Amino acid sequence: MIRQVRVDGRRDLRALPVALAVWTGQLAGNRLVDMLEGSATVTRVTFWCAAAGFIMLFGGIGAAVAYRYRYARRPGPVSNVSCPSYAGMVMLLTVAGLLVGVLTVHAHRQSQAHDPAIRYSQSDTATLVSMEASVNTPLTASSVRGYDCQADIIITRFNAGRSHAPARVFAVGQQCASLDHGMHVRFQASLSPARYGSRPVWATDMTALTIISQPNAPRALANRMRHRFAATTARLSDQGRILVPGVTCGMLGQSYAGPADTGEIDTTYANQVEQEFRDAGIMHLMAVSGGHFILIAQLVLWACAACRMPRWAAALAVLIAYHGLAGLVYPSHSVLRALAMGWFSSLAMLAGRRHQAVSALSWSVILILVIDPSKATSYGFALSAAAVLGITLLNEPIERLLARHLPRTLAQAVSITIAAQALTLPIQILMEPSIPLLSTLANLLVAPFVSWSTITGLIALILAPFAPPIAFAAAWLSSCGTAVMAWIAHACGSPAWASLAWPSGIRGSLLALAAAIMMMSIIAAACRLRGNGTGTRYRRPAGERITTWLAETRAMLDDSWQSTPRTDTSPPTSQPPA
Amino acid sequence: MGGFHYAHDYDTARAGERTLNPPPPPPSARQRTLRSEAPGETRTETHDDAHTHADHADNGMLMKLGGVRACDTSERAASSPVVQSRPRIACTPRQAATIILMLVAALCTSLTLLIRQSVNLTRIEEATVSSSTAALPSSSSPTSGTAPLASPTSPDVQHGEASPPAAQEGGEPDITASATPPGQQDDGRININTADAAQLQRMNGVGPVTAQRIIDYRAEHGPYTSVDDLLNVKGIGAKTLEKIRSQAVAR
Repeated sequence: MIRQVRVDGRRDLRALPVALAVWTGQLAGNRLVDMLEGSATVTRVTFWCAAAGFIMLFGGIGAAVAYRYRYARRPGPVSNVSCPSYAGMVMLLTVAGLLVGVLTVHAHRQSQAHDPAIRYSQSDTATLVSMEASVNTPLTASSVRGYDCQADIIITRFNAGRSHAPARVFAVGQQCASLDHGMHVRFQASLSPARYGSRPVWATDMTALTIISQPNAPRALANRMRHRFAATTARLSDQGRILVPGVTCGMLGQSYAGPADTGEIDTTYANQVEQEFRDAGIMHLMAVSGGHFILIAQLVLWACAACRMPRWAAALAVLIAYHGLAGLVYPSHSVLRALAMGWFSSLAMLAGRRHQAVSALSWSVILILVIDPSKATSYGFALSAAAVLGITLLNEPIERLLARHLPRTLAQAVSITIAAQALTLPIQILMEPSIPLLSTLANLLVAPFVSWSTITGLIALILAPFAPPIAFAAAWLSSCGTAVMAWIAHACGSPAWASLAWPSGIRGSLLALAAAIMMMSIIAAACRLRGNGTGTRYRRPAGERITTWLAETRAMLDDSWQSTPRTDTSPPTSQPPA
Repeated sequence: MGGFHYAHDYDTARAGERTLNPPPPPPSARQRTLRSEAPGETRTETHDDAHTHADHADNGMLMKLGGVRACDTSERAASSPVVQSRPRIACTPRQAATIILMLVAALCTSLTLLIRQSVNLTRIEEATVSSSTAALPSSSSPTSGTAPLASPTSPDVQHGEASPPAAQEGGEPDITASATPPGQQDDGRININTADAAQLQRMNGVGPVTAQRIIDYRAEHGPYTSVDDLLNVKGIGAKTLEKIRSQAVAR
């Protein structure tokens, strides 16, 4: 049998090793800087070694290009012969990515070490200092006792000097009603190193708050929508108040803080619902991710096709819709990743080229990590990127495998769930060392209701300041969907055996990864043993099978009723006459 | 493989030659028993054997007439090559060079932004250090170009220079807005007993040299009991005192 190997240009994985190398380099660089803390000479030596390595790498690539150009024949079109592997090039790219990761992390840590705000926070004083900052996220309920709300800020001026320190500010009472996303504020607070979280500095005991500038017009509109939406959902049922904001904006109802009057939410019930979602493995629905953006893109493209708009106009419309959605929802790291990938897909549509998902993901990750190396240790970013990578790489093989045994739609739904979870499971174990056993079933059951709740929730969010009755109706429809989701989470998350305890930390994560790889290789080996060769097994459609079965049953029963033997001209029956 | 001989004759035959006779059957087809029976033929086994044998013979004749060869009845027919597609993961040196160029561009952008931030911060620290020592002439402004270019690779130099200003700044913050810091009284006057050089300079009529002399006098002779004690400081006369009397207070 002639076996022909063809390189599929529709699946372009060339940038994937580079992205993985940059991320690994940044994590290793973080670990290296922590280990070398205080020894400045060693740090400097490491930095210069990395820079020299980079220069040598570039020289090596240049030499390889020159060699290829001068001595080697130009490669012809791909024929029966398989492509040359160029494994050396991939290794060089990996090394380049590692060096880039280490260098950017080093530079980032150095710049943070010189920032006056961060240096002051490490000096362990409780004195109030004055600073100016811009508020980067909507206010959420505080995770620290003693405060009402918190928000992520960037300190722009510290003691009349310029600063660029990311921080988290905690506030009480009336300050929560006056602060909002997008404002520039001036206040006095005491700085301390963060006890947990992604921001390095916490600003507490805020006093003398003055607002320097209000948010710009689009941001002010988004804030108004969010506050009115919170007031609208406060009139829903208990689970609706918690889950509808979560599935729409990525913030659960109990974490809202702001001027809208939302009344009291039963915190015990809220915590219980959140824990059930976590145990059932469907907590990812409560964070805005690529699913929302894909939904919006499909709606916008359908509307543009109905209006017969040209391709460039449709691409621009999708881009504007992406930015609008990113402005409305809570700006988490997965939203940033989805926005970056959305830019790549819109540019591809503008240029008229096919959208390459893995390539877009890799370059988004590289650009985001190089610009802000603090995202290398962010769980939200890692989960989002791993889920997209799993879906793009593993969805089609798993679907082909399952389509032999299950109906097509069921196979598609199950394969997306398994493909997304295959790569996110090791990261989830780092966060919480337990495996949700019923998560595939829960995701399957919940899948039809997610789109419904998301779309109606977004309609409620957009219409809340302009048409409150319609917004409430849309929110109520969304809460019907979330009621089903809450019931499924309760059924799949509350049994004690639904969570399998697993070793924690890196060890448990690697163990889970090894178990997943082993399972996949066993399945692949089983498929090869069956020897299916070419093509797929023929399975008759369900309707045809039912019709045939009915006809045969009727024939069997008719024959058994008849007592006369058949004539010679009729074909012999498979059963002897009774 | 005698069959090929006849096929070859057919290939090279020309018009008018004896082409109307069908080619003789391949010799191996005679011994071939029909294993690939249709499912319906199982029913023929219930009849007598002669009929079965004739049936087989008919099918054999059909196979011979059709020119079916032995290898055609095998399970795996080599009808078309199996095409395996694998994703593109390898790149040529030129593509690798392009990717590395893009990485270097991103890296340079990131490093430039970070270095610019560091330069801004270091210039401010240098200016604060130079004003507190007061050994320089009064032309040292925060935007002077005499500050060394900061780079992320010389952390030990900057650590040594930066820690004293941090300690000073942390102790007495300097504000520009309506809020009142601890080093300043509620009515806006500056306490000459606790203010540092930067705060003293905010008074109209006091420059860096004068501020340093006020601090030196305070260190030498103890805290001021009233604003009039400033007359004892070299460089502050009656006119200067009238200028700064409304801005200062001694607590």
